[in-house]
Amino acid sequence: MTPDNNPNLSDVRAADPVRMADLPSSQSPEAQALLRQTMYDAMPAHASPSPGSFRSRLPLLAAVAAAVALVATTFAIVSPTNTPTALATVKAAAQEVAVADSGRIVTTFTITGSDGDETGTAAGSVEMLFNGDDLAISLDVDEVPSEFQDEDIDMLEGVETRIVDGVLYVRGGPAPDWVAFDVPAVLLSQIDSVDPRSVLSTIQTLIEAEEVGTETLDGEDVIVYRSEVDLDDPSLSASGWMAGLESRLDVEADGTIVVETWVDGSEQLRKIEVTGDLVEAQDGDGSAVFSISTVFNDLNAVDRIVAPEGVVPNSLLEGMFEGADN
Amino acid sequence: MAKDDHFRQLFESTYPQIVAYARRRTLTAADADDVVAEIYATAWRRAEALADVDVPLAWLYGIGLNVVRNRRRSSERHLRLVGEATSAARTTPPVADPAEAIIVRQALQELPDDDAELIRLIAWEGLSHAEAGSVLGCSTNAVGIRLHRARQRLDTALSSPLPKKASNQ
Repeated sequence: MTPDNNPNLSDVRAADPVRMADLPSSQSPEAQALLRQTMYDAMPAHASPSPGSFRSRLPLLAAVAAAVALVATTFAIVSPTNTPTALATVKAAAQEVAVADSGRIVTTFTITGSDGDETGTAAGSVEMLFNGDDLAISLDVDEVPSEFQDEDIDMLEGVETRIVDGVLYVRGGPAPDWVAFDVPAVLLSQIDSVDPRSVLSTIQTLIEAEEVGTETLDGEDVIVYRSEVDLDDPSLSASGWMAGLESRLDVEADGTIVVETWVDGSEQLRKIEVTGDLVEAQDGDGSAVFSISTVFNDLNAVDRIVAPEGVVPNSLLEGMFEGADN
Repeated sequence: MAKDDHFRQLFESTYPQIVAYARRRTLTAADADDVVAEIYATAWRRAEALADVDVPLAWLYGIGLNVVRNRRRSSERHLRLVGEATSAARTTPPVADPAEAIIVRQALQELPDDDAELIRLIAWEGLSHAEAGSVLGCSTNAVGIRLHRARQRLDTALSSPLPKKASNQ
């Protein structure tokens, strides 16, 4: 290395592995094909989400619900009331959970959504235990959207999911006995996207917060932080963050989301509460009002997750992942 | 200008840079192609926001930041769970590197992701502090502070004889 006025950056420039001269131009056949696909098919085939039938979503439902609150926190991007101290505290508290070896996360939720003339409500709670890469998720639903109801079967009754040593175990709804799967790659990516620890990691770069007061939570004094985000704020789109998030969630929404965070005296994240009132951005037909509260407990104190006993052959659910990109 | 024309203009004026951005952050050309496709697909869905965007390339980099991070998290989890870490080997040969370039790239991997990304945006993508701030969602002033710290960390990493952590890639 030869030091100069800007030694590190010049070294980095020299280490660039890409030679622009080797790259295709926008007039190349491949680029033109991509342009056509993007403009006329909305999304190139190889970039589109893997198709998922209702059935294929069933074992994921608990995980999705558990993480809704945390995914929503990633909307808390550009709060004009941010203060550096509050931000640093929230980040540190979120990181404690994100890097924990184990823990227990309990989420209670109420979500009311409408699409045109149809309205549905989901309410209940989800408990997620994690230990390393292993997860155990159980769902307790009080109100169920009609699409998850059948004449004879509550599709969400007793839904439990475990992932132990890369094997997915599911029971509940139409399959009351435990069924095991080798986890398909497409499912892994979906689970990862809603894993609370993954989502909490994004807070390190996304969330901003303002201290709004103190409260008592379980007999302990905690500090409350708040972020309010107007999704119509053009600065969100201009920053690129909004588009990236909407890509991940596959939705375009306008409205306001409020994220409140409780941090205790040990700078541990104790609770996150997310409330929102959103409408679909493009045609305004869809809307959602939600309140989701997530409590974090037993960090680094949860025993290992064990595989369930009495697992039946998976032929019962053969075809569940048909069409999935494995 | 119609949405189609606006987007086509964006695509044709940024495509080589976006391909370069993707290839600098992925292991294989196929992965890079997927990232490029996802960036433009997202941009197409959000094309109406372009009217408010000062620097379209920085806007696309901002989308790319999320796309790459999401893919990285998914692939890391996937590799851990299914034990296919060996498949992460490069399938395309790296360009011939002088030894110093390899050392610098290894040092970059030692940095926190945000620091490394900021340095890459400035050094490889050639963004100004204001443009990098637009990508990362922070002020120009904050970019200056973060870059100063990142360079100090890079300097430390370059002085270190051995990597402090294993690369996930």
